[in-house]
Amino acid sequence: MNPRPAAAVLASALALAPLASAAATPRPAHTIVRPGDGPPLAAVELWFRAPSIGFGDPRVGIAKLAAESVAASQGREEPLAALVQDRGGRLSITVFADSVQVSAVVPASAAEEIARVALDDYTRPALTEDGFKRARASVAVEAAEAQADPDAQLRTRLFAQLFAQGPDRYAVMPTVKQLGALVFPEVLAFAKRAFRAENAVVVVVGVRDGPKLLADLGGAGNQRIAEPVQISRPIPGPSPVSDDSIAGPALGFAFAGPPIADQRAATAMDFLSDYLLNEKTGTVARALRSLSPAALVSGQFITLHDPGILLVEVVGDASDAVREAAARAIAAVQRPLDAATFQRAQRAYIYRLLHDVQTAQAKADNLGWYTIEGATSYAPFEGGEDGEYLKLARALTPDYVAAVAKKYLTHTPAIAALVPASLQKKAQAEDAK
Amino acid sequence: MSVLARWIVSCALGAVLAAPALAAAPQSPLPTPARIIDATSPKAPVTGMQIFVPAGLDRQPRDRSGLAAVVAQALLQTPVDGVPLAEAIERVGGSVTFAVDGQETHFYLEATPSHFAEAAALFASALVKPAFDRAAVGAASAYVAKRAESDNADALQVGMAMYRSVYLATTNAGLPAWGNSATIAQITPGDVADFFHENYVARGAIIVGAGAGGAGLSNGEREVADALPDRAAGAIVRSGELPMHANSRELITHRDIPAPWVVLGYDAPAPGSPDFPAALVLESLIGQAVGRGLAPPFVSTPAETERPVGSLYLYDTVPSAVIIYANGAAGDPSVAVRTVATVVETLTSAPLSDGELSLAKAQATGDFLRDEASISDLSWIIGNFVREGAGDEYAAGVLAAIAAVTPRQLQSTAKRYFEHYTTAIVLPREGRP
Repeated sequence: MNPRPAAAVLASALALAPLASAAATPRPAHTIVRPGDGPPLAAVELWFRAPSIGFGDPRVGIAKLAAESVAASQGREEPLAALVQDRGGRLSITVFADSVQVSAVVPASAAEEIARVALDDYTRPALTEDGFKRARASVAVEAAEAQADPDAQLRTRLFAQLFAQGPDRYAVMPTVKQLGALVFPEVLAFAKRAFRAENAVVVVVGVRDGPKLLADLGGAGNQRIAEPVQISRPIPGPSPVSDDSIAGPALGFAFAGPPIADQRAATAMDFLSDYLLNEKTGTVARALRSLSPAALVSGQFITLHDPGILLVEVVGDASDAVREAAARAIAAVQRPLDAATFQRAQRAYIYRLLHDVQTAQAKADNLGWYTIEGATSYAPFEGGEDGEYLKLARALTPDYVAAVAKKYLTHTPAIAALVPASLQKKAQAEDAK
Repeated sequence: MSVLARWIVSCALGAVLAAPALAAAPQSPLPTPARIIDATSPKAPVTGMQIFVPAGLDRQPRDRSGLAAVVAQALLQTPVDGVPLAEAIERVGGSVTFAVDGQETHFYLEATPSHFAEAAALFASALVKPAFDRAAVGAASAYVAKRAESDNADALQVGMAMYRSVYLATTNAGLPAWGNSATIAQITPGDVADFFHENYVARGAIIVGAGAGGAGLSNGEREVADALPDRAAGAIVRSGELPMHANSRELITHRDIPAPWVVLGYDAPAPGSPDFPAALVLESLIGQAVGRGLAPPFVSTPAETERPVGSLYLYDTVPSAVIIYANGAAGDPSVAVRTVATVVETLTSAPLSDGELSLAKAQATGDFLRDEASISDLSWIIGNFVREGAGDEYAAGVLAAIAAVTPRQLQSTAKRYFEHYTTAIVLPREGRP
């Protein structure tokens, strides 16, 4: 018999601790409520700062399973997942390396109720064995789907290469085997620690009466999230990997970038990400257009506590020629763009940035993410046209952007290729001829 | 499982068929010079403008199927300031897209508020002096042929096109939006110029401004309206055929797809009809809730692609239709079709209880709000309702109309529209030519 991991034993003990009493729900660490002026559709989001792999020995998938278990459990009323849908909304649960996001997009008339029930269900937490079983079935299907998702597969490999330790090193979605190893007591213990109110950020965007809802939720909070920020240390000079995967052919690069505290440099990386990686007009896409017309380019600068990560993905072709062409396009931005090119690229970048924050959900996503990462006021369009982010974006210069590229894009990136076995065999057969 | 989903799967099997009694569709509005409607939001991050011109599929000859799309694409490629229009607009900080529907072509122009007037001026200049030389038409035709090929490999698009071709049979409005390679190959620069000259006109055109308002939007709207000549559009091409009303017919075709798809098409009331709000509720109830009920056991709300059943209300044309589709890759389509039949039978045999109806209304409300969540979607919905004669304020009143639907209204609307349908079946080719 295999010995039980220490983490599971500890979890069992923690699970015996009583659930929070039925008293009023404690106040979240941080509550942000914004009114809407578009269609009466609201986004209600709960964010928790918690490592996807748990607080002890790495348990891949525990945050995902715990978050879904709460939503599937009978709380004070019906499970949150069912309640949101019965109110005409859609619930999504997303786990990042260092945080958990629970998002409900609902008619504005239901936002107040959903915000209260969600906060109540998560922070007590409502978590039953039945909900746990339903969540495990759900995560199993999602995990199977992730096997064919190039983005999920590339991220897993790139981040595993790029980081020596910390939650960023691990996948957020478990394999079937990892999922099967997660037991109810440890999931319950994780939920009790991760989903505390004092570890929560609540964001509601699109309600008509913001001040009333803010007061109902206990005010803005003390702005101090209970759990510390998770640090993942990058490895200098990671080695490239090439794996058999049904998600291929696909190719990815990941560069360690500036921390969120260096907002000017992080904004420059956002500009570079748009200039390089826009799927139609980005310079990487242009470089690949004649070489591999079917290849799709995507990517982003992920603004994290430290370090941020520039992620580059090419789906449809993982050949050496594509890798070299993409690398050349990325290297080219170390030289300052001429003034006219820069101005056009800057206008396009700011437009796309603003285009992407037009819905209540997009605004809530940004506010939640940047608050968890410790920089609410830096969220794009927070503060409108005079907000911190837009001021920095407008103040970028060609020389500064090139300097940031030189600083962060000259280090050896993590590189991962996904090649289906069938293609590998075909290539080997051609080599043998 | 939600209360609504539980109710649906517990319905008894069987259906009582009765002759449909279609409500009178609203009369098409008389052509007038370009109308300008504003639905602005002071805090929106971008400004948008939806431009409808009466250049739909119904005005193109059958042997030039795809012409409306080629004209719109050629307009986007028209050189302005030395670069194609779409690129010129991106350079100033904006974007432009188009879609061709049965009875109109609509363009969506969006930009940062401070640069919107510039973007609109570029669009207007292309309208005044479009480039329809042989090279431009060749490039546009190649693009449109590629889109046609892509749609032809999409089982849902194929099934939907099969149904559109019968319920819109009196004109060419039911032709596929992107045409087909054989007819596109026949399109000449003369065809393009003629179609543009005849149908890109002010009478019948509608301009909807949305998002951030201001002088830039007002000036842009006027400039684009002034670029459309004040005359009526060319004649609608009549087919001489009679529309085939939904009546349990089967249309079958084969494509290179991995699993069969079934599309059930129902005649449905158009916007402006007193039955439209109840039909919206029914469409949402049958498609979305059945889809959820048969979906894998996700805790998060399943995405459209994850549901074995979905629905679409095709109210972009008068007459309108509802389709319910079953994706064979996500589940057994025969189970899906039987479940739909069960639900319809229950809906027609007795009125819903107040509790069931309020859940169904919440679904429909949520679906409608999501359909108008972005500035692009909102401006399209407003303009489309106006174009179809439902009135300037119709979009704003849809939610209240949904709220006012009674159990009896829902039952009578189900009887009137949902007991008869046409079945389009798209099967894997499996060696067939």
